Amino acid sequence: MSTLAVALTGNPNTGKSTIFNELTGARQKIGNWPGVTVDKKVGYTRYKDRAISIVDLPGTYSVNARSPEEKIVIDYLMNNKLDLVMDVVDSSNIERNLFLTVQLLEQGIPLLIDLNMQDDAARRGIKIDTKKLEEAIGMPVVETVGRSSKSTKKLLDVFTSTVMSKYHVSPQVQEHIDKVQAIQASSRSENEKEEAIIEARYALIDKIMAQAVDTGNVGQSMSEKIDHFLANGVLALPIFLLILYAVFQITFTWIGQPIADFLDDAINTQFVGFMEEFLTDAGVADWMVSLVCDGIISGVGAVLTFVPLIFVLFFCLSFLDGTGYMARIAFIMDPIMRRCGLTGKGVMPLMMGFGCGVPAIMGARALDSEKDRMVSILVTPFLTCGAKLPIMALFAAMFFPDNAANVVFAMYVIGMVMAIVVAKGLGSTVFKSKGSTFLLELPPYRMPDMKTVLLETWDKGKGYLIKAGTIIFAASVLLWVMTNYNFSGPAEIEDSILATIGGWMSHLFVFQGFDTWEAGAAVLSGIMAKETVVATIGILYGAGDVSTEAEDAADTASTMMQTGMATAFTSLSAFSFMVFSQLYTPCVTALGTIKKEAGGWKWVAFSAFYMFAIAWLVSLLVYQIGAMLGFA
Amino acid sequence: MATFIVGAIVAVGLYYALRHVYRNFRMGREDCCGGNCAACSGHCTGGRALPHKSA
Repeated sequence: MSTLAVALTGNPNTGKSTIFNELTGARQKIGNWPGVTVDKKVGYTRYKDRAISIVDLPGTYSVNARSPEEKIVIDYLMNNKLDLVMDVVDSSNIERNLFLTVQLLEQGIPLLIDLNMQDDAARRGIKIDTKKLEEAIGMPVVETVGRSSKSTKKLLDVFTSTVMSKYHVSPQVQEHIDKVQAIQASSRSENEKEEAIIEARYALIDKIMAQAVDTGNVGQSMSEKIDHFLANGVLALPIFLLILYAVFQITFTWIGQPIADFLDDAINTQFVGFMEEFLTDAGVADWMVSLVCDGIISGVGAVLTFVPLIFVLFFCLSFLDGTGYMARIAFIMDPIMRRCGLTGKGVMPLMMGFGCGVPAIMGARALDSEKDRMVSILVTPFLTCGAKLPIMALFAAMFFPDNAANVVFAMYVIGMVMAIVVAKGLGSTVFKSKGSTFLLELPPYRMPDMKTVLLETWDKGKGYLIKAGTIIFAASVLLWVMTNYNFSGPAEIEDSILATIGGWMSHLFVFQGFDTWEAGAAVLSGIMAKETVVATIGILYGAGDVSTEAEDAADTASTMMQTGMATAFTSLSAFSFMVFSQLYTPCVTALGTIKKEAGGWKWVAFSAFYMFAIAWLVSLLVYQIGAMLGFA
Repeated sequence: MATFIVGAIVAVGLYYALRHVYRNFRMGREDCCGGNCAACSGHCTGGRALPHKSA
């Protein structure tokens, strides 16, 4: 029997991705931001000996082919031979969702209409008569609750038993289609035609609503009630900052840090000690023991230690995303963003920048104007991506042990403020143009699906594990070679290649208080990948001080790393270094993405140099003003 | 001999690490966003203008 080809379509945020995941088990980013799915996602499953392929199409409000998402949907639906197209409708927002349904029917695409989120609709007092809806449209209708696997699994039954050729649009829908075709064939202007067609669509939707949907008992929804509190003009911003602050406390004080401390002990004390003893006993040469323990394990371990923090932070952000609060942030930030000449929509790619700058820079594609896009691309790297997090966490824990969470929070705020200030500067100088409008759908508040939150956390966080095993591993070996050799052969660390290069770099930071070759080398390595800053520091301050006595080597490595750093930095110069690391040149991958998205090397050069200059200037101000105020 | 074995393990690890980095570079992939940027294509933000209902 041939494979049954099914496509899922619908508005953004109707639960298509959740249904897709439930049906196919495939992993995919699911969120409450409208338009979360863009690429065609294909999953496979079997039911009653029938192979089923399911395509999850991007969420769109219409199929006018004006955006990439709309083009993907209409091209796919028109050019592929599909057995079944399921239009996933948010039952609690059925009137607006029917706009797409009507458009698809106009294109002659038979639809299986899935009334999803029935639970939300019921809570809002919306009653949909499925039978009458079927009669009003002429297409089969099925009901689901996206997060209930039992509910979605019954779809497989529907897929395998529904024969779409049996269904034909209802007379009123056919009448509408004829009317639309007549408008299109008329001699009116394009604008007039479009307006008339939209009017006709809403007239049909009004009819369908009157026939099949009872909204008589619809009161204020729970989301609207919550929004009165969380998204009102006065409290919204303080609550947003409070929530962000709570996330940092959870990550750096309550949950993430204790796990990180445990891991730190396990890797940098227990494991290093064990490996050093094991390798020495096995007769491995001292230099190889040093490469493995002081180079690879110190470097990779330094990054791995921060993995719990990253996972906890991503869990919190994914959880907030799942509740629907992240979309509110766009609205909350809109007035501030407007002052920078952007819209609240620009906050979304920026928010992604807290995870990784690369998708965040690419996310700027979704912004409407060229100005918004370019400004967003150029300021996103100021934000504290997950790779900068270990730098902040390490320095905060070492130099501000009593206020670690507050200091890291301050770095996030500095990154955000700098992004906003620079956006304002770029918007009023390099990219002058008119402002754009901001229309965004706010998803209802929901209890997040924990499976989705955990999957998303894993998907985002696993990148750091992969990096630790690949680029950090390679960088650790390279750094070990550079710290143990010079061009004449083996050398003391002070005469090594890295000391020479770091020494050159350090001259740049005389006024910032961290003009050591170790800091210079760490800054340089951070351009390769920000995680390598910590790996470099781990190697540089650990390698020279590790005891050769196997029984206390591990303890010494851990303690000496801190002691070495403590003498190299004061609290003020550490803070200055954190500010510099927060703001300076993005990593190579981010620069590559800027080239791709901004369209040229000149923007890469611009980003690299202007960010370095700003970081240099701000860290200088921090150090000099701090010194004047008497901070050590 | 032990040094040679450990060196070989490190060399193999290094080869695979560099291969991964090189492939990521060639394909424009970044591990931080789930190992596959195509998963989101950077289009995770799609707030679009809704079609207006005529008066």
